[in-house]
Amino acid sequence: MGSEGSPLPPSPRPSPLKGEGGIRLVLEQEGGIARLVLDAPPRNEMGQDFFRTLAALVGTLKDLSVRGLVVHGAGRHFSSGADIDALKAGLAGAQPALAAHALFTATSSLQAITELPYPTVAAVGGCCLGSGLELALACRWRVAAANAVFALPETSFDLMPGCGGTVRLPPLVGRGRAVDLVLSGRFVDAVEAREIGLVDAVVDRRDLLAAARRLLERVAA
Amino acid sequence: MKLLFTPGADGIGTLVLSNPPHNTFDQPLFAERSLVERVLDLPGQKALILQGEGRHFSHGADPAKLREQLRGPAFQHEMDRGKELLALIADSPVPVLALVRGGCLGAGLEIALCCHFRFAASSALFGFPEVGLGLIPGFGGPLFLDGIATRRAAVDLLLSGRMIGAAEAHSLGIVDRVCAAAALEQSARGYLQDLVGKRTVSQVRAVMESLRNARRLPLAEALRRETELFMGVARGE
Repeated sequence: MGSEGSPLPPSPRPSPLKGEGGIRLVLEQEGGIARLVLDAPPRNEMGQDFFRTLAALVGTLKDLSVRGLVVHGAGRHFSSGADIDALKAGLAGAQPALAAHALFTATSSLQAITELPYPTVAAVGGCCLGSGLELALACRWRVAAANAVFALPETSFDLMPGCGGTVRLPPLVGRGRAVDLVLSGRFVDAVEAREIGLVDAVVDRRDLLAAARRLLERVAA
Repeated sequence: MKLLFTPGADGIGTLVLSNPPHNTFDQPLFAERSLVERVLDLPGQKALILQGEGRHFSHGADPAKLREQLRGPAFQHEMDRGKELLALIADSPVPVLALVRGGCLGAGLEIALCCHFRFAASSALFGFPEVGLGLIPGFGGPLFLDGIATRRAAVDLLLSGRMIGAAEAHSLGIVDRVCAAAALEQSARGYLQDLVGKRTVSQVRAVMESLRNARRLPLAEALRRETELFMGVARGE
């Protein structure tokens, strides 16, 4: 795991930086790298709290003076994505406009990650599904552990990807493959993900974070 | 060239390029535009198979007929109108699968490349013979190859004009699946049934529009539109 780093200094308001909402931001002293940890094990599901916290964190991320950011999951998985039942309940509720607003806020937060002024890499182990994959796609690079599996399964739940997946996928994997992956919702393992351009490298699971750090050091050099 | 269309009970239609034996065409606007539009946009349809009549997919434009028109003042315009047909297929509201038997050459290959998927019989042949005739592919072949094959493979095929078999086309990424000619149709239909069978028409159309926006719109606009499309699908519109 390398240097464990220290949390950010406390802020006056109840702060998301300590790990509420299933996200933890860690600044590593050594190497000047920040880590955004999806921290709701085991699956690191991305609920409403998660996206509220992420939206609140975006400003902090922009102002960080770091050489790069690693986004990863706590434990075995990256993220299983949104809580589909809660999402559907929200969409079926009295105020769909609120659901639309929440969705667009989430999309905007991911876009803010894409626009960060330093390199970003998603270090993906285990499940990387739905909005979890959309978060990984918002990063500039993706490094996968050999046990990683990827999918945008939204169409199987009578929905479609809603946080940039359909927009960010085609340039990476090509027009036809994007149609195949989004409409089928099928799972792709790390080897295929590397073959089709979904990830930039596949490494041993134990080497995942170190490989992500090395990539950042290389591109920042 | 004639187009023959058969709707499918499973929501998967079949469009046949018909000018046997080689399904060549005489002018850049190789089919009636309004017909192509209607077929792609058919209500209730979820996917389309595009194939050639008989033994071949298409050998593309007839070079002799093409040369007669080259000096005409309207040729550039005609080429643009032909390319618009390919863009219609590439931007189709439903996935289009090119089912390739026999020769798939020149502009015929360019038509196959603008489709989303290519399934080929093991005996199929692919190539850009234009260079051998003192021409270059003029229907967007170089552009469509980008993102499908590696740049090295694209340069090789476009400049050498050599013909390749289905196995090599598969290894270069130009063809998604190769199977025996007798099993080809079932393989293609089975794949599309798995892909869209359980999806609603509005899901298919929304996904296809959003994937298309990724190429056509500025990023911020494409993202905003994706949210709208998502909400439409979620409301069952």
